[in-house]
Amino acid sequence: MAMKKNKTSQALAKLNLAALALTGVMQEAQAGRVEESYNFDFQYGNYVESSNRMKVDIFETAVSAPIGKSMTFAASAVRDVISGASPKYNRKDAKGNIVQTLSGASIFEQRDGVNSNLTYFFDNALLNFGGGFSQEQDYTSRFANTNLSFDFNKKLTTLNLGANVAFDVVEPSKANADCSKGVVTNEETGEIRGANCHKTSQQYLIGVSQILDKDSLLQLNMTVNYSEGYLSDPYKQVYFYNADNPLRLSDIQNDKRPRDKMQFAWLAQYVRHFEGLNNAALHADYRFSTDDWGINSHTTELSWHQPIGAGFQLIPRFRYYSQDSADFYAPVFYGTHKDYSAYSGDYRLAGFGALSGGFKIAKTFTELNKPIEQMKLQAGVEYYDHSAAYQLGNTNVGSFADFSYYLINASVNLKF
Amino acid sequence: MKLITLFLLITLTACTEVLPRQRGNLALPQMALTPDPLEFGLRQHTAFSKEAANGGYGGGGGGCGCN
Amino acid sequence: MKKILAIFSLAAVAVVVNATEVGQPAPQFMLPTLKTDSPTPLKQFAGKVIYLDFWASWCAPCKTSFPLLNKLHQKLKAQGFEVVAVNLDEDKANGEKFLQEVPVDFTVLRDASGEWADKFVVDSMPTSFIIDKNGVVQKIHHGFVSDDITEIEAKITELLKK
Repeated sequence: MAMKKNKTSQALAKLNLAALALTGVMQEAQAGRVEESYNFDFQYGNYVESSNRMKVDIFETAVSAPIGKSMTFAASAVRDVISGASPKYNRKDAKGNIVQTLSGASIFEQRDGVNSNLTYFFDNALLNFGGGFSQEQDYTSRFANTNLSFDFNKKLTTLNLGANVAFDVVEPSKANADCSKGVVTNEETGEIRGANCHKTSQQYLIGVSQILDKDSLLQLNMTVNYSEGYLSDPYKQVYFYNADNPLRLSDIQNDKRPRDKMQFAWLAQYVRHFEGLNNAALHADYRFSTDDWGINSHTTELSWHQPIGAGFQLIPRFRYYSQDSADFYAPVFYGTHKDYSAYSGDYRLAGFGALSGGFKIAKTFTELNKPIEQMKLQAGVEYYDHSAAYQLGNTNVGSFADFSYYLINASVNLKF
Repeated sequence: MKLITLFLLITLTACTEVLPRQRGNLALPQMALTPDPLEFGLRQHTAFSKEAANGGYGGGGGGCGCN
Repeated sequence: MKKILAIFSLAAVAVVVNATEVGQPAPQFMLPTLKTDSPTPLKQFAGKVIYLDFWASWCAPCKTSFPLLNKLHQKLKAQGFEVVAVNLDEDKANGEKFLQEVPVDFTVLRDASGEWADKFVVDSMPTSFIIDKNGVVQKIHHGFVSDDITEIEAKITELLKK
């Protein structure tokens, strides 16, 4: 018996993939220093949304090794196992209230990704090249990145530059996916063949890290992100209601977003050491982002790293996020789709805020048998609450899209 | 450009002179900009899947300044 | 324009004139040992080739260098080679803990205030000064990667012959 898979979950995975492409920009190393140790990391993550929506198990492995006098090679592989439902469209109930409808039955989906990079260390600079790809049933992403860091001022100041590009292809096997190339939709049977949606994203980073004094550090970054191609969600739909008779459904269309997006983000990160509190450290971040889809967002995050006892660290964390809605977002639309150039009811483009808090415990072991120099074990949990009511300025469109999730993670790191 | 001005301002105000031998506190693992890269990747990835914002993070600096 | 350049370069030189450079005699310090606090003068090692290393417990390359330096010291000490490692940790306990993880046979002193480190000018962690039998600095080495031990051994061997 042929199993008809509900491909809705792929939409979720697709968004996960785009995120993977960005991980390449995050290079954390200092010029002129070659970490002459071998590292092995394994991380497990478990993501569970409220109301039996999405569940993901994440398995990730990473290794790094020094090569010769001045280079480090690193590679990582990840597998996501995804199941559950996700929001498909918003509609009105009999009373005219907005209700979010999830996709159908539970699905099983798997995403695999690999990436590797090479870093070359100079006396006062660092150059890094990397790339990778991510694959699942109907989605492929290929990406490459490069980073350059320069140390100045006796290494008190570091200038960081980064560039990252990703080429994504989604082949939804679902009726009515509107992609620019090779769309074959059969309105009657809903059969679709050979649809091919491409998306290209580029991100550039420029930033500076500055040591303020022997106990504190500040980093200021700016990123520019330009995406073009098929940016819509092939598994989401938009409901149109009659302008004169608002309870009457007049049209159902696929999610349709502009074919390009330009986004800027500015980040400030501050790290401070507290000697008197057993070498505790405070991390405080603020990020503002804005794009030409009309979404402005604010992100604030605080975490406290508290060493305790012999090799333990307790790390509580708090985060607040708020965004505006996109210009072409509405829970439902009125009129016909011809009245609009773009339209989406995706909760991720709506105005909302999110509060999250988490806690992590880490234990570092240093007295170990050779060749292991150090082992670190960590376990943490985070609770995230998404609500329209939390939005700054609170243009609350209603709680129909509110949800929450738990993210649990555990990891082991070995240094040889 | 705004960022270059900001960059120059920071380096010129130079804050406090920290000698290479005084970087012990900055070298602590909890003082790294990203103390746990794998966990950071997971959390960013998750947030990006559910939010419209992305970007901002990246780059190194601080630390022990060795070699 | 040339005049301004000349003044600037003079000013630049003036700033670093206190640094100990190759060809200059090493400042004669008196520092306590890390383990027992017994005062130790540099001239105690006069007539020997000295590898003077400024290190700290938080410096990862220092951890790489110690076992290699220890081996080199054991190999060449009969010929008159000494390693003198000066710890720059503000807290002595961190230095002691480091030595438990990486035990060595050579002399370990400490300069918690950094007074003597600043006279030598420690531009990176670690920084080492190879001092010949006459107490003159012959080589300054910034940082450390394991491959460096080869060129260090070559220089020491060369100076031992003189």
